[in-house]
Amino acid sequence: MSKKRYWRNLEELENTPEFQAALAREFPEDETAKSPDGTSRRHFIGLMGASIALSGVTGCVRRPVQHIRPYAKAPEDLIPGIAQHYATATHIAGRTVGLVVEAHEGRPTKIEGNPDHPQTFGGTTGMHQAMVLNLFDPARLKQPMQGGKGTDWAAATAALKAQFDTLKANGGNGFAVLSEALPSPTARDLRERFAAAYPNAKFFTFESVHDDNQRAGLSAAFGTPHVAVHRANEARVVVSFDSDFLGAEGDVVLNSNLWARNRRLRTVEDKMSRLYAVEGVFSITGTNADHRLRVKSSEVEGVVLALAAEFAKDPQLAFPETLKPHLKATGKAATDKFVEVLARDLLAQRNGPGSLLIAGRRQPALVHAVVAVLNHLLGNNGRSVHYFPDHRRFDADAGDLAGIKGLTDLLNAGSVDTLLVLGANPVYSAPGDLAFAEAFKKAKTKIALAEYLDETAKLADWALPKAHFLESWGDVLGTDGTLSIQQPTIQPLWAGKSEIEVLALAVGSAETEGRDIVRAFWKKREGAVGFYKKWRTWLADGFSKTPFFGVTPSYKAPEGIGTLTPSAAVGGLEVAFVESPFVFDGRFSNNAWLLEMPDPVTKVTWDNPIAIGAATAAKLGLKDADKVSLEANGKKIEAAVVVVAGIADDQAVAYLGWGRDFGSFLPYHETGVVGFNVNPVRSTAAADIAGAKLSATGGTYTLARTQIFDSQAPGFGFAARQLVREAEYADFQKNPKFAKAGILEHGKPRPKAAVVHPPEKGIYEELKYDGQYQWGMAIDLNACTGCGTCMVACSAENNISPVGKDQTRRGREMHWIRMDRYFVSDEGKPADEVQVVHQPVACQHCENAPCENVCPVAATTHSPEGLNEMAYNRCIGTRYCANNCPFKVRRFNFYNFAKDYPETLHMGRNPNVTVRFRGVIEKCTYCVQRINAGRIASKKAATPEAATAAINAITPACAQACPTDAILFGNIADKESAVSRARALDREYRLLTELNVKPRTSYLAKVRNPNPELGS
Amino acid sequence: MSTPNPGNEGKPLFVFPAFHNRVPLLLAPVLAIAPIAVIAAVWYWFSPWFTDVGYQPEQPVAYSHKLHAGDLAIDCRYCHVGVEKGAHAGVPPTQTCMNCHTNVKKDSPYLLPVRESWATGKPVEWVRIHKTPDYAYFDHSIHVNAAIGCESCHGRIDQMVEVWQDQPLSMGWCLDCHKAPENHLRPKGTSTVMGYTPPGGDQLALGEKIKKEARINPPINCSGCHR
Repeated sequence: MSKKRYWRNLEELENTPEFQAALAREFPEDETAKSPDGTSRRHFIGLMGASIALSGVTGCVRRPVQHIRPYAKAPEDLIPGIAQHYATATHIAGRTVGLVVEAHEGRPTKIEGNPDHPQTFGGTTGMHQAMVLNLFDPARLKQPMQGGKGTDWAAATAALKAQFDTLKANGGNGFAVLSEALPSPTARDLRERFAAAYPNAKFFTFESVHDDNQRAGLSAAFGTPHVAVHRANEARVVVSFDSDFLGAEGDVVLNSNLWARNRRLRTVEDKMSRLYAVEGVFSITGTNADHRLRVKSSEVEGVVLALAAEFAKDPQLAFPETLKPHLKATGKAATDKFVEVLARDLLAQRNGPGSLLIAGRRQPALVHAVVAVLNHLLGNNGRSVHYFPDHRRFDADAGDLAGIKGLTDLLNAGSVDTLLVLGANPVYSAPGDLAFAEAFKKAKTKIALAEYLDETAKLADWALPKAHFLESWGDVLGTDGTLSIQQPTIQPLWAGKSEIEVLALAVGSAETEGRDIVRAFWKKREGAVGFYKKWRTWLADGFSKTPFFGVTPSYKAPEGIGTLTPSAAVGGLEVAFVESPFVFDGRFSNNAWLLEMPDPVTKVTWDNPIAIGAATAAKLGLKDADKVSLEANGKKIEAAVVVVAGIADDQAVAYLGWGRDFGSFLPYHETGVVGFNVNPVRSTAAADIAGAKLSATGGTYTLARTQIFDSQAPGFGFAARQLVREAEYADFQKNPKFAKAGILEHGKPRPKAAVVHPPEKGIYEELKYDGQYQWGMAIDLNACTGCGTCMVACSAENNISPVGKDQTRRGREMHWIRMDRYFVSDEGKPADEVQVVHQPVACQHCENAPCENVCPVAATTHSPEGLNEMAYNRCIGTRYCANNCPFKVRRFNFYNFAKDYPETLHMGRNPNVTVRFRGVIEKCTYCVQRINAGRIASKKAATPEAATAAINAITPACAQACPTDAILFGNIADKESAVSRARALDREYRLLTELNVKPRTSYLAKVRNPNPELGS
Repeated sequence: MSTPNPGNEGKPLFVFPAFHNRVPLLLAPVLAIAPIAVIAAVWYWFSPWFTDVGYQPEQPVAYSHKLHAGDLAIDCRYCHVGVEKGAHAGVPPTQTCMNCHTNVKKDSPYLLPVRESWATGKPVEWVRIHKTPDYAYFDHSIHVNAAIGCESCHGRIDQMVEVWQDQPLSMGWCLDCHKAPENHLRPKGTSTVMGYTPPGGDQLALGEKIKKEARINPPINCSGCHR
């Protein structure tokens, strides 16, 4: 049997001379290089000398006078220093997540999931975690602008009112509105009132990351537009057809949480679900799949039809006739074998534990319709898949792409006098073939409500500042009809207004303030009797316990596929346009926390190079980081490529949402433009998958990647350490305690390379841990999807500075948690045939911590409760600890990153965590501020039960944010705590135990569940 | 050939006078004492015992703690509402002053800044006296709930017309108590009593008893205060 190899990038796999050279270097780049502000080392020393001399003078001053400014009139229930928590909710492109916002003296500082929310269970994504940074972004549009000149709302309102009155008088002739997806019942009501007030006006909705295909496919299947809501916990077999349902697509939080419930093995008796992925891109879902069929995106349709053909053979299934003419096998042996086995596996679940098929956003409508039919035939309808009315947009809309095309045609025909854009940024995000910017200019009066002076707002006659969701009232529906109330936590910083308020202005509503508008709508709908009490309950809970749609999701059988036909094959190289899991469609592309997130697969930060597989790169003669031009749909853009294993042959992957210019507010970023804009090469006909041409244009682009140069030297590499441990489900059942020893490969423990270690005995006397509580963490690699939400949550909670592309390139990123990604491949198989293990690694809080012994000033020490502590004010920056840390989790402040921030960003900082300065080391603290708060609450508690509850409630930011609850934290001295129970599981192991460091963080080994018929 | 006195050939060499021989002898005691003196000087004059204790800035309002807390015996918590609940005891909002001073002394010229603040909504700018560094996270609530007297850190506020800093608030001073809290522990509910005397006058016996019963175990590790 072939041996498995664990590796991190292609150079390592091939062991190139470049890789060897990189290993030998201590630093990835020349250390003597100039600092980002251009100061040379010599100049710096000079400056330092002068400041030391001058500091002697200031030392004589006794103490600066500080003032305490109490409130004149204190707000009710606010005690300075005690954080307040508000339940709220928001949506990203119509997908709602329930949130709880922590506010300090009126400033929101941290967004967390609302654990009671029925559709998101307290989980979030990295984007939600980072939204607080958008609120305080100094680049936001700060006042209404008329023709590029600043004005105020009074003038704007007066002018707009006059404009709207004129339009009302002629029935809305020549009036068009373009909105983002708005899953808000209040907005829907205003939309209806808008139609009554302007009967001839046109209303369009546009999302660049569109759901047109699902909408069209499910319309064909059910007769009316629907949205599919998946419950992966009801399925033993889950199949993703090019759907990144665990990463960026659809209800990610709901999907991840429910999917992980069937992956969390406690004992050998526990059943585990199996995930198949059929995709061309390498998505987060694909990295978690037990089986991944690597086909081009355009070929996924063929796989779905071949699968349907297998189903058609089963006489017991009532197969719809309309579909039958399109069925055929793919004609490729490996694919047909996969399809055959998959069909058998699915049919075996039919009257049993259930299964779930998920069609991806990029796949044509036919795929969605066929998947709906297959889900129905498998009996999943009403169990693992539910269909609800699509409330993210308004019924009369044709769809996103048809909408933007319709609007462009109207504009080009000159039949739009007044165009109101609500939140969307079509000049940036519209497909290139529309040349929307040109069409946009043809409208006489262009009004744009925008958070930034973005591409659209710049061209508008009126640019109105849009309120952030933390500044405005609203209501949002989940796809399953959960009603959440969007409650603000701060007055608009820059006089922004919400979409609802602007719509109300257009309609001429009696209520003009967001809260009044929302409340008036619901009061009318729910009846005035008892409404106040109901409203208060909604605000306190964050959501209504009564689903908006009642309890009648559609269980009716799909009628077939209507008139849909298979799409034409794309020959040769093709490109898939993928939403970024961090900047999405571009709406977060000025958010430094998200820009600095390494891509889950390529580990590239601050960029979106076109990703291609190793085989494709060889075929095209392209090398990693080559500059290229990408040609598709008759247009051409300049970009760079990144070569990464696992992408299908002849497939290129282009991330949407990058390449926008914000005029360089970002500290330590030179140009302000980050990445490449790929929207120009999309077209309305081929917005998701298109035939493409990639050609080198000469030269190499600079990519900033994490997890490249910290590879361990051969001999101390993976063979010896086995940092990630995994087994197959069948083998796990035979040998459940496999992880204690190492990887279980083909059922046998993989021998560790012989490394001579010192005996497991410290040279110092071992520390005694006699505290009342002993803190520990357990991370379940089976539940972790590698999404990176924990990293953003950690940045938000612990005031971690982004450092910029240049510093990341030098290996100076500051993330306290890093998400390690290991590729696993069989020796002798192509490099693209890989599986992935994700492993979050933060400070392991070793009981025998090597960092502590080497600190010359005792700045890092141990608490009696097992925390490895960092006293920043003691640290003198020798970095000995970082060098001696076997996990490489300590981060050094090479610059005063926090100081150079604009003022507003300081408002969003956590006041309970020190903002670190230049020259000190920092690292994960297990969120010691939360531990201390919990301990204090426990000590103050009136009863022993309340005291225990306060201790059990301590949750670090990463664990709170995790959508799959993969991270558990608590008191390991209490054998009943969740973390103790996790540590007692068979799968538990700890890293580098042979060094006798005794980590407090445990990992639960990964178990894959491959189908024996397909082999592993 | 080199000469013994280059440039001044023929002239006598400069020779130190004989009394220079005694200089090292005279300097010896000075050199011996100097380091001790420097250390002692820095120890005292650079320490918060000298730099901070006794800091008594002038406040914008001539507010007398002696009158309010001492003579009128208003409980500390009437104004410092956060002290049992949160990290900060809190300086009261103007509103708290106006609770009484809309009726009492409502025309006093001393209260003009307070009335102005009430009218304009602008805060009274009190001058901060007690300050721990930004990297030290002191929490009032846990100290008051563990029944440490306000007096232990703030001194006899009830006797101060204008408040001054009574204790150095230095790390060593914090640790003195964290290592031996029995010197300051009191029965629950007596934190705000000024001039508290333990029964029988034996603080140590009382403190030991409370420490045992309430399981007082203050942290002396870094992350107890720094994070």
